[in-house]
Amino acid sequence: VPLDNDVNPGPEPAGNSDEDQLLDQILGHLRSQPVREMPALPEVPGRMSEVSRRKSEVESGRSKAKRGSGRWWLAAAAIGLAASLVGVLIWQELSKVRLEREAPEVALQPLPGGDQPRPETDVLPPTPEPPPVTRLAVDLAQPLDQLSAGLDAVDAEIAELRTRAALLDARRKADSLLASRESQAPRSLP
Amino acid sequence: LTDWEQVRQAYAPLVWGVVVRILRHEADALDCFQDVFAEAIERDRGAAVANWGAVLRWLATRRAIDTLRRRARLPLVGVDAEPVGSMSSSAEHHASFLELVEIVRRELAVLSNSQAEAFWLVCVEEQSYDEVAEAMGLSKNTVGVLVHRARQHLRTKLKSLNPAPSRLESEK
Repeated sequence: VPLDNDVNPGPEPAGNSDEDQLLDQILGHLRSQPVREMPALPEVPGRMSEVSRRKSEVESGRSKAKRGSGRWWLAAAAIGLAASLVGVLIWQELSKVRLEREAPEVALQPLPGGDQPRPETDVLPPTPEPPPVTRLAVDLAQPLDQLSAGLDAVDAEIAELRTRAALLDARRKADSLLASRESQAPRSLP
Repeated sequence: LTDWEQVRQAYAPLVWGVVVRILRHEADALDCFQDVFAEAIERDRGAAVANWGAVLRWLATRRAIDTLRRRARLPLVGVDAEPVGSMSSSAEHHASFLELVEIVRRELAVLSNSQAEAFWLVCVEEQSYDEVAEAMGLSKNTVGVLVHRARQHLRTKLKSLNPAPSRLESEK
């Protein structure tokens, strides 16, 4: 038995609703709307290709510049890292050398009074151990010894010079006395 | 090697028509026009193009919808409005209809890129599914799905506006 679809047509098939029809009308309007004429572009042969070529060149130049700057940054970072590593290694070596230098100085520095020979017949109680030498004392001991030795030499030189000066003065006095006596003596002699 | 001067002369009206229909703004359309050909030349270096008409139409649609999307974020200034004329009854209906047209145009910016492009190329530019699929690099079924979803979105939008039946009748 054929169904009477005219009585109850049911839901509208897709594309026949009011919105669909309205949308189709809108699309028809969009299709048929007048388009203004394209403004005349300068009739230079190859203008478009020239414009696009320049544009692509600029864009490629920008990308190359970006890539180039990125490479420079990487190179600079690598150089900085290498320099810092070298610096750390040099610092470690220098600190090792300094430690090796300082350690024997402390060990070889003679303690004051430690090397003095003691008489075998010493009945006195043993002298107490000298206080530990501080690093400052060790550092200052040698220059002070050198300075005192130099001062002694200067004192000896001054004493010798004074002795020489006194001798010269006495000799000069004796010469002057002898000369005055000779001048006062009678000139009877031929 | 493609003779670009020849391509430009052959397809410039087509590209211009597409960008102007979408944008309705001469300055934006000119920018878009230049960008389309610049992109086409760039594409030509990569691979040979068999159908420049379909590809240029698709590029023009894509560029124009991109511009429309950027413009949608700005206040509507400088867009060419169609003359409304005196506000008689029919003129009012016509103005309402044009408002709906503008809403549909703006809704293109709300759709996804592929949906908007496929919808415009099939429904307004009246390209075949095969041509659109080839130009966009998609399958024919995918293009059909994109167009269907775009139509569905626009239908829902028009339904939410609840246009009066008289408006529809007046346009008929």
